[in-house]
Amino acid sequence: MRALQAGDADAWNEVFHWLWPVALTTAQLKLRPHFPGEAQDVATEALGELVPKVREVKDVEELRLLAVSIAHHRAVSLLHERLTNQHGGGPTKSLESILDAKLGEPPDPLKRSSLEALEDEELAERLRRTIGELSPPVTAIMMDCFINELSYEEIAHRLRIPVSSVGTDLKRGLGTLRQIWARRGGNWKTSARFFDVSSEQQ
Amino acid sequence: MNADRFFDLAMRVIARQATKSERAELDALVAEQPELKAEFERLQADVRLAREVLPLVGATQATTPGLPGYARGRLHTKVLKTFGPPPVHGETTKEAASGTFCRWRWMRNLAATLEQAKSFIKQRTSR
Repeated sequence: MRALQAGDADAWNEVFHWLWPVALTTAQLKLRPHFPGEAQDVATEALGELVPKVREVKDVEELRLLAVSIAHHRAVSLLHERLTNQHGGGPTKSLESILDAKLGEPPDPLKRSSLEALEDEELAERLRRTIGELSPPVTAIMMDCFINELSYEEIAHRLRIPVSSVGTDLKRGLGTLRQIWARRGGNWKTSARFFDVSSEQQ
Repeated sequence: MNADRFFDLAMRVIARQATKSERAELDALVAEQPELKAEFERLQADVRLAREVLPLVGATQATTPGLPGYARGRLHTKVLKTFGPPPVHGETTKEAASGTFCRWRWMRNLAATLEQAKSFIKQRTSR
Protein backbone atom coordinates (compact mmCIF):
# COMPACT_ATOMS: atom_id res chain seq x y z
CA MET A 1 0.00 0.00 0.00
CA ARG A 2 2.88 2.37 0.79
CA ALA A 3 4.27 1.86 -2.71
CA LEU A 4 0.88 2.76 -4.19
CA GLN A 5 0.55 5.78 -1.96
CA ALA A 6 4.00 6.93 -3.10
CA GLY A 7 2.98 6.61 -6.76
CA ASP A 8 5.27 3.66 -7.53
CA ALA A 9 4.62 2.84 -11.21
CA ASP A 10 5.30 -0.91 -10.87
CA ALA A 11 2.95 -1.25 -7.92
CA TRP A 12 0.22 0.61 -9.78
CA ASN A 13 0.78 -1.50 -12.86
CA GLU A 14 0.19 -4.63 -10.81
CA VAL A 15 -2.94 -3.18 -9.23
CA PHE A 16 -4.34 -2.03 -12.58
CA HIS A 17 -3.86 -5.52 -14.03
CA TRP A 18 -5.59 -7.02 -11.02
CA LEU A 19 -8.49 -4.56 -10.92
CA TRP A 20 -9.17 -4.17 -14.63
CA PRO A 21 -11.32 -7.33 -14.98
CA VAL A 22 -13.23 -6.36 -11.82
CA ALA A 23 -14.03 -2.84 -13.07
CA LEU A 24 -14.79 -3.98 -16.61
CA THR A 25 -17.11 -6.80 -15.51
CA THR A 26 -18.97 -4.37 -13.24
CA ALA A 27 -19.39 -1.81 -16.02
CA GLN A 28 -20.57 -4.50 -18.44
CA LEU A 29 -23.32 -5.59 -16.05
CA LYS A 30 -25.15 -2.32 -16.68
CA LEU A 31 -23.92 -1.33 -20.11
CA ARG A 32 -23.83 -4.56 -22.11
CA PRO A 33 -27.51 -4.52 -23.17
CA HIS A 34 -27.50 -0.87 -24.29
CA PHE A 35 -23.98 0.50 -24.76
CA PRO A 36 -21.52 -2.40 -24.76
CA GLY A 37 -18.83 -0.32 -26.46
CA GLU A 38 -18.67 2.09 -23.51
CA ALA A 39 -17.76 -0.45 -20.84
CA GLN A 40 -13.99 -0.22 -21.38
CA ASP A 41 -14.00 3.57 -21.14
CA VAL A 42 -16.10 3.43 -17.99
CA ALA A 43 -13.74 0.87 -16.44
CA THR A 44 -10.73 3.04 -17.30
CA GLU A 45 -12.36 6.12 -15.81
CA ALA A 46 -13.36 4.20 -12.71
CA LEU A 47 -9.79 3.00 -12.10
CA GLY A 48 -8.53 6.52 -12.75
CA GLU A 49 -10.92 7.82 -10.13
CA LEU A 50 -9.55 5.23 -7.74
CA VAL A 51 -5.98 6.59 -7.93
CA PRO A 52 -6.33 9.61 -5.58
CA LYS A 53 -8.55 7.57 -3.24
CA VAL A 54 -5.62 5.30 -2.42
CA ARG A 55 -4.53 7.82 0.19
CA GLU A 56 -7.62 7.02 2.26
CA VAL A 57 -7.84 3.24 1.97
CA LYS A 58 -6.38 0.74 4.42
CA ASP A 59 -5.76 -2.29 2.24
CA VAL A 60 -5.90 -3.54 -1.33
CA GLU A 61 -9.12 -5.45 -0.70
CA GLU A 62 -10.79 -2.12 -0.04
CA LEU A 63 -9.47 -0.94 -3.40
CA ARG A 64 -11.18 -3.84 -5.15
CA LEU A 65 -14.55 -3.07 -3.57
CA LEU A 66 -14.15 0.62 -4.33
CA ALA A 67 -13.36 -0.25 -7.95
CA VAL A 68 -16.68 -2.12 -8.15
CA SER A 69 -18.59 0.75 -6.52
CA ILE A 70 -17.11 3.45 -8.73
CA ALA A 71 -17.51 1.41 -11.93
CA HIS A 72 -21.12 0.64 -11.01
CA HIS A 73 -21.98 4.28 -10.33
CA ARG A 74 -20.20 5.48 -13.45
CA ALA A 75 -22.00 2.92 -15.61
CA VAL A 76 -25.39 3.83 -14.15
CA SER A 77 -24.73 7.57 -14.68
CA LEU A 78 -23.69 7.03 -18.27
CA LEU A 79 -26.70 4.84 -18.96
CA HIS A 80 -29.12 7.40 -17.55
CA GLU A 81 -27.41 10.28 -19.32
CA ARG A 82 -27.35 8.57 -22.70
CA LEU A 83 -30.88 7.25 -22.55
CA THR A 84 -32.24 10.56 -21.32
CA ASN A 85 -30.48 12.37 -24.18
CA GLN A 86 -31.66 9.86 -26.76
CA HIS A 87 -35.24 10.33 -25.70
CA GLY A 88 -35.17 14.08 -25.19
CA GLY A 89 -35.02 14.08 -21.39
CA GLY A 90 -37.95 13.48 -19.12
CA PRO A 91 -38.68 12.16 -15.67
CA THR A 92 -37.03 9.07 -14.25
CA LYS A 93 -40.13 6.97 -14.64
CA SER A 94 -40.05 7.40 -18.41
CA LEU A 95 -36.43 6.37 -18.41
CA GLU A 96 -37.28 3.18 -16.61
CA SER A 97 -40.02 2.49 -19.11
CA ILE A 98 -37.50 2.99 -21.92
CA LEU A 99 -35.14 0.53 -20.27
CA ASP A 100 -37.90 -1.99 -19.78
CA ALA A 101 -39.20 -1.56 -23.30
CA LYS A 102 -35.70 -2.14 -24.66
CA LEU A 103 -35.45 -5.35 -22.71
CA GLY A 104 -38.82 -6.45 -24.00
CA GLU A 105 -40.27 -6.72 -20.52
CA PRO A 106 -43.35 -5.09 -19.05
CA PRO A 107 -42.61 -1.80 -17.26
CA ASP A 108 -41.72 -2.22 -13.60
CA PRO A 109 -42.09 1.03 -11.67
CA LEU A 110 -40.14 -0.39 -8.70
CA LYS A 111 -37.13 -1.28 -10.81
CA ARG A 112 -35.09 1.82 -9.94
CA SER A 113 -31.90 0.75 -8.23
CA SER A 114 -31.69 1.21 -4.51
CA LEU A 115 -27.89 1.19 -4.78
CA GLU A 116 -27.70 4.43 -6.72
CA ALA A 117 -28.29 6.55 -3.65
CA LEU A 118 -25.25 5.14 -1.88
CA GLU A 119 -21.87 6.88 -1.97
CA ASP A 120 -18.94 4.89 -3.41
CA GLU A 121 -17.51 4.18 0.04
CA GLU A 122 -20.90 3.17 1.47
CA LEU A 123 -21.56 0.80 -1.42
CA ALA A 124 -18.07 -0.71 -1.02
CA GLU A 125 -18.63 -1.18 2.70
CA ARG A 126 -21.96 -2.95 2.17
CA LEU A 127 -20.40 -5.18 -0.47
CA ARG A 128 -17.63 -6.04 1.98
CA ARG A 129 -20.23 -7.02 4.60
CA THR A 130 -22.21 -9.02 2.04
CA ILE A 131 -19.15 -11.01 1.00
CA GLY A 132 -18.18 -11.52 4.64
CA GLU A 133 -21.60 -12.52 5.94
CA LEU A 134 -23.01 -14.62 3.09
CA SER A 135 -21.37 -18.03 3.15
CA PRO A 136 -20.15 -19.31 -0.24
CA PRO A 137 -22.76 -22.14 -0.41
CA VAL A 138 -25.60 -19.70 0.30
CA THR A 139 -24.21 -17.26 -2.29
CA ALA A 140 -24.04 -20.09 -4.84
CA ILE A 141 -27.68 -21.05 -4.19
CA MET A 142 -28.82 -17.42 -4.45
CA MET A 143 -26.87 -16.96 -7.68
CA ASP A 144 -28.44 -20.08 -9.16
CA CYS A 145 -31.93 -19.04 -8.13
CA PHE A 146 -31.96 -15.29 -8.79
CA ILE A 147 -29.37 -14.84 -11.53
CA ASN A 148 -29.30 -18.17 -13.37
CA GLU A 149 -33.02 -18.67 -12.73
CA LEU A 150 -32.78 -22.37 -11.92
CA SER A 151 -35.63 -24.12 -10.12
CA TYR A 152 -35.26 -25.46 -6.55
CA GLU A 153 -35.00 -28.96 -7.99
CA GLU A 154 -32.30 -28.00 -10.50
CA ILE A 155 -30.29 -26.22 -7.80
CA ALA A 156 -30.59 -29.19 -5.45
CA HIS A 157 -29.48 -31.55 -8.20
CA ARG A 158 -26.58 -29.35 -9.29
CA LEU A 159 -25.26 -28.75 -5.77
CA ARG A 160 -26.19 -32.23 -4.49
CA ILE A 161 -28.24 -30.98 -1.57
CA PRO A 162 -31.82 -31.72 -0.44
CA VAL A 163 -34.52 -29.59 -2.09
CA SER A 164 -35.65 -28.44 1.36
CA SER A 165 -32.20 -26.93 2.00
CA VAL A 166 -32.55 -24.69 -1.03
CA GLY A 167 -35.53 -22.86 0.48
CA THR A 168 -33.91 -22.63 3.90
CA ASP A 169 -30.69 -21.19 2.50
CA LEU A 170 -32.50 -18.75 0.23
CA LYS A 171 -34.48 -17.50 3.19
CA ARG A 172 -31.34 -17.12 5.25
CA GLY A 173 -29.51 -15.38 2.41
CA LEU A 174 -32.31 -12.94 1.68
CA GLY A 175 -32.58 -12.17 5.40
CA THR A 176 -28.86 -11.39 5.55
CA LEU A 177 -29.07 -9.17 2.46
CA ARG A 178 -32.07 -7.36 3.89
CA GLN A 179 -30.20 -6.59 7.09
CA ILE A 180 -27.06 -5.39 5.34
CA TRP A 181 -28.75 -3.31 2.69
CA ALA A 182 -31.57 -1.91 4.80
CA ARG A 183 -31.71 1.81 4.31
CA ARG A 184 -30.72 3.98 7.20
CA GLY A 185 -33.80 5.18 9.00
CA GLY A 186 -35.43 1.77 8.88
CA ASN A 187 -37.53 1.95 5.71
CA TRP A 188 -36.91 -1.73 5.24
CA LYS A 189 -37.85 -3.20 8.56
CA THR A 190 -36.60 -6.69 9.12
CA SER A 191 -39.48 -9.04 9.58
CA ALA A 192 -38.51 -11.30 12.47
CA ARG A 193 -41.30 -13.66 11.57
CA PHE A 194 -39.80 -14.72 8.25
CA PHE A 195 -36.19 -13.76 8.62
CA ASP A 196 -35.06 -14.86 12.03
CA VAL A 197 -31.55 -15.18 10.70
CA SER A 198 -29.72 -14.92 13.99
CA SER A 199 -31.64 -17.77 15.59
CA GLU A 200 -31.32 -19.96 12.50
CA GLN A 201 -27.60 -19.44 12.24
CA GLN A 202 -26.94 -20.32 15.86
CA MET B 1 -49.62 -21.32 8.76
CA ASN B 2 -46.20 -22.67 8.05
CA ALA B 3 -43.85 -19.73 7.39
CA ASP B 4 -41.52 -21.93 5.36
CA ARG B 5 -44.37 -22.99 3.10
CA PHE B 6 -45.36 -19.37 2.53
CA PHE B 7 -41.75 -18.48 1.72
CA ASP B 8 -41.33 -21.36 -0.74
CA LEU B 9 -44.60 -20.54 -2.50
CA ALA B 10 -43.72 -16.86 -2.65
CA MET B 11 -40.27 -17.64 -4.09
CA ARG B 12 -41.72 -19.88 -6.77
CA VAL B 13 -44.31 -17.25 -7.71
CA ILE B 14 -41.71 -14.45 -7.81
CA ALA B 15 -39.43 -16.62 -9.96
CA ARG B 16 -42.42 -17.44 -12.20
CA GLN B 17 -41.88 -21.12 -11.53
CA ALA B 18 -45.10 -21.78 -9.61
CA THR B 19 -47.70 -24.20 -10.88
CA LYS B 20 -51.34 -23.17 -11.01
CA SER B 21 -52.08 -25.03 -7.81
CA GLU B 22 -49.12 -23.43 -6.00
CA ARG B 23 -50.28 -20.00 -7.12
CA ALA B 24 -53.79 -20.80 -5.88
CA GLU B 25 -52.38 -22.01 -2.56
CA LEU B 26 -50.50 -18.74 -2.11
CA ASP B 27 -53.56 -16.70 -3.03
CA ALA B 28 -55.58 -18.64 -0.45
CA LEU B 29 -52.93 -18.01 2.23
CA VAL B 30 -52.89 -14.28 1.47
CA ALA B 31 -56.69 -14.14 1.50
CA GLU B 32 -56.67 -15.82 4.91
CA GLN B 33 -53.96 -13.56 6.32
CA PRO B 34 -53.87 -10.18 4.55
CA GLU B 35 -50.65 -9.18 6.33
CA LEU B 36 -48.89 -11.72 4.10
CA LYS B 37 -49.48 -9.44 1.11
CA ALA B 38 -47.07 -6.89 2.57
CA GLU B 39 -44.58 -9.66 3.28
CA PHE B 40 -44.89 -10.91 -0.28
CA GLU B 41 -44.16 -7.40 -1.60
CA ARG B 42 -41.18 -7.16 0.71
CA LEU B 43 -39.88 -10.45 -0.63
CA GLN B 44 -40.23 -9.14 -4.17
CA ALA B 45 -38.13 -6.13 -3.18
CA ASP B 46 -35.56 -8.42 -1.55
CA VAL B 47 -35.28 -10.52 -4.69
CA ARG B 48 -34.84 -7.37 -6.80
CA LEU B 49 -32.08 -6.29 -4.43
CA ALA B 50 -30.43 -9.72 -4.65
CA ARG B 51 -30.50 -9.47 -8.44
CA GLU B 52 -28.61 -6.19 -8.23
CA VAL B 53 -26.16 -7.04 -5.48
CA LEU B 54 -25.16 -10.62 -6.38
CA PRO B 55 -23.72 -9.75 -9.82
CA LEU B 56 -21.58 -7.08 -8.11
CA VAL B 57 -20.37 -9.67 -5.61
CA GLY B 58 -19.57 -11.94 -8.57
CA ALA B 59 -17.72 -9.10 -10.33
CA THR B 60 -15.29 -8.77 -7.41
CA GLN B 61 -13.94 -12.22 -8.36
CA ALA B 62 -13.40 -11.48 -12.07
CA THR B 63 -9.89 -12.30 -13.35
CA THR B 64 -10.22 -11.81 -17.12
CA PRO B 65 -9.71 -10.09 -19.53
CA GLY B 66 -6.28 -8.46 -19.41
CA LEU B 67 -5.64 -4.72 -19.21
CA PRO B 68 -5.46 -3.23 -22.73
CA GLY B 69 -2.48 -1.05 -23.64
CA TYR B 70 -4.42 2.18 -24.18
CA ALA B 71 -6.02 1.91 -20.74
CA ARG B 72 -2.64 1.25 -19.12
CA GLY B 73 -1.27 4.41 -20.74
CA ARG B 74 -4.17 6.56 -19.56
CA LEU B 75 -4.03 5.16 -16.06
CA HIS B 76 -0.31 5.69 -15.67
CA THR B 77 -0.77 9.29 -16.80
CA LYS B 78 -3.33 9.65 -14.03
CA VAL B 79 -0.87 8.22 -11.49
CA LEU B 80 1.77 10.65 -12.70
CA LYS B 81 -0.62 13.61 -12.41
CA THR B 82 -1.72 12.56 -8.94
CA PHE B 83 1.63 11.71 -7.35
CA GLY B 84 4.11 13.60 -9.51
CA PRO B 85 7.11 12.15 -11.40
CA PRO B 86 8.54 8.89 -10.11
CA PRO B 87 11.56 9.11 -7.80
CA VAL B 88 15.00 8.33 -9.29
CA HIS B 89 16.43 4.78 -9.05
CA GLY B 90 12.86 3.49 -8.57
CA GLU B 91 12.87 4.14 -4.82
CA THR B 92 9.84 5.58 -3.06
CA THR B 93 9.73 9.28 -2.15
CA LYS B 94 10.44 8.66 1.54
CA GLU B 95 13.39 6.46 0.79
CA ALA B 96 14.71 8.97 -1.71
CA ALA B 97 14.56 11.67 0.93
CA SER B 98 16.60 9.67 3.39
CA GLY B 99 18.95 8.17 0.84
CA THR B 100 18.53 4.77 2.51
CA PHE B 101 17.52 3.04 -0.68
CA CYS B 102 20.59 4.19 -2.65
CA ARG B 103 22.91 3.21 0.18
CA TRP B 104 21.28 -0.18 0.43
CA ARG B 105 21.65 -0.82 -3.32
CA TRP B 106 25.29 0.28 -3.19
CA MET B 107 26.02 -2.09 -0.30
CA ARG B 108 24.25 -4.94 -2.08
CA ASN B 109 26.28 -4.39 -5.26
CA LEU B 110 29.51 -4.18 -3.26
CA ALA B 111 28.71 -7.44 -1.48
CA ALA B 112 27.99 -9.15 -4.81
CA THR B 113 31.30 -7.90 -6.28
CA LEU B 114 33.25 -9.10 -3.23
CA GLU B 115 31.59 -12.49 -3.49
CA GLN B 116 32.61 -12.78 -7.16
CA ALA B 117 36.18 -11.73 -6.36
CA LYS B 118 36.35 -14.31 -3.56
CA SER B 119 35.25 -17.17 -5.81
CA PHE B 120 37.69 -16.03 -8.53
CA ILE B 121 40.62 -16.09 -6.08
CA LYS B 122 39.50 -19.47 -4.77
CA GLN B 123 39.50 -20.89 -8.30
CA ARG B 124 42.97 -19.50 -9.03
CA THR B 125 44.51 -20.90 -5.82
CA SER B 126 42.98 -24.36 -6.32
CA ARG B 127 44.75 -24.60 -9.72
